[in-house]
Amino acid sequence: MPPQDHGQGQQQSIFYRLANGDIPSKTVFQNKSFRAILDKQPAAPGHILIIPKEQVQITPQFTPEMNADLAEAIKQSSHALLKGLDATGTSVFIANGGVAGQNAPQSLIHVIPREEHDSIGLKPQPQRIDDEAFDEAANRLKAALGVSDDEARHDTSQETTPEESEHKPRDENDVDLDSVQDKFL
Amino acid sequence: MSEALTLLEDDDVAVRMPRTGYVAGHLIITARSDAMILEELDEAVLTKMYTLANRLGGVLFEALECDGTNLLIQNGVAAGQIDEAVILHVIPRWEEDGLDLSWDSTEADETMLNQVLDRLEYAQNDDENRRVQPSREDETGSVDVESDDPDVVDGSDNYYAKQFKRGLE
Repeated sequence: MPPQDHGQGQQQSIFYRLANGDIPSKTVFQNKSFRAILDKQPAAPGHILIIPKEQVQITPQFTPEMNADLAEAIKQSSHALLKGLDATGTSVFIANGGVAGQNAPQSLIHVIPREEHDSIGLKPQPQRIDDEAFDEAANRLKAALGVSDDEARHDTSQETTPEESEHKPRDENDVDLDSVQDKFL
Repeated sequence: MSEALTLLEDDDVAVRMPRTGYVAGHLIITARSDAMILEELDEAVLTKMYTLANRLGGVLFEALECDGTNLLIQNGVAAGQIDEAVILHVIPRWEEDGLDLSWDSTEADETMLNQVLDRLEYAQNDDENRRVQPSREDETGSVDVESDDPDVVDGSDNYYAKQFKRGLE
């Protein structure tokens, strides 16, 4: 089901009841926090909806335990699609807020099987960001994150490869992500 | 993502704002791992990526006054993956920002859903059987999990790498 088609009101209890097994579903996987089911209105056959068992509207409200259970549910679901349906890839999509495409009052995670040249989308063409807009966003984000100009680093070359990053030593400019996470709990 | 501003990084992940992105403030969380696709990535690192993405969602609401966010992993070339690394996109959204991340859907009938579920359950049961399947030691003493599936092997030619590479062919 497209995120824009999830209705309000009555749907709330439906997703909650689906997640908790009160309404029968085609369950692919479940753990303590989530149930992964086949979407009855799929973008493609095998489209999986991962639904929180608690009533949580957007993912920034997820608890640490839910984030861990979400990672497990996503990996299990994506793996099942690659192996079981021989999918070429998967899209893992979340919409937080109506403007992002969310219309259900429950957070929903979509795992969609992909094939070459399918018509699903979810791969818009990136555009060069206007310099002024980029700098303004960068300055606001650095301020919000408490990152100084010295700590932020402009990369003009290729993305750091896994081989390079594996041996990259931590330095004084590295930022403790835990402190950032704590700040916005 | 060749040109970007690195905002945060540690041994597991990096948070960057690419010069070429979907909207201003588009952030990418890159796993610093040999994993090319999601299924190869350590679950603890994926947990960290989503934990961070959800925190950054709050930061984007606050700092950029966005109206929503999208989180997206393009897993495999068919899904739009470009880099040979797992990347979680955190995309701030505003009214009429021109970004279309919707899709068309069809109504699935019961037969189709059951057929799909059968195939997914078969794959999951196969995984379970492989986990409990007896292993044997070869002459060198190393353990070799018995498998008659040529796709399920360790090393560079593994199942997931094949899935990723199929998109490049």
